[in-house]
Amino acid sequence: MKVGLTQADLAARVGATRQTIVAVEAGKYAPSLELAFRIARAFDAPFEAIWSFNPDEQAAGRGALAADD
Amino acid sequence: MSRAELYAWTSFAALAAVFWWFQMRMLDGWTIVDQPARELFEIYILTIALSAALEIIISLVLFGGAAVEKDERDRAIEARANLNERIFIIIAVNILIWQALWEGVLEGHALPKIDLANLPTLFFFLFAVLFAGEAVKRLSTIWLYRVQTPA
Repeated sequence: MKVGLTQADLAARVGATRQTIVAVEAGKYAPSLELAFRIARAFDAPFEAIWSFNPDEQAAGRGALAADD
Repeated sequence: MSRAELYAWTSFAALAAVFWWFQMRMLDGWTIVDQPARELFEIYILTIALSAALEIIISLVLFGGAAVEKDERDRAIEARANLNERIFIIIAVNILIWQALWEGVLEGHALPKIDLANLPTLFFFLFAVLFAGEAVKRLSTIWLYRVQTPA
């Protein structure tokens, strides 16, 4: 999803560090439900539009931002 | 590099510096120097004071005295690092307990001997375990920031 937000902008909007946003994007960190909702709200988009869930990939407990569209 | 990660690196360097000073006061080569309890207590106080002073200096230099801002990932990493430290200390203390029991139960054994009945030796190993546990915590923090994410 492209809305012209930098990682730093998004981090500031959701109350996280830019490094956390980078880790979430890279699939290295599974955010809490609260942060996931905050990120969806920052994009002003439905939760499902931002987040994807693949049970096979989630075995390691990682979350993933939906791919750019 | 986040401020929390920068703090992890600098505090690890500070820990290494304090341990270097500690071992300079406690060891002569690989031998623990025999010292009276009064001197050991002085080393204890100075080690604590030096650690605190370095932490304050790091906080002032890096962050102007303000608390390091942490988000949920920082806190998750900190929690995992604390767990690693705790596991390490439990294992290390149990090894010391086993070592002490070997000395009493298996007299004349060929295993490496640590005379924990000797005060400087006991002091050094207990303090070394605390240092090592702290090192495990700080290295875990750095590792989790660099490579992994806490499960």
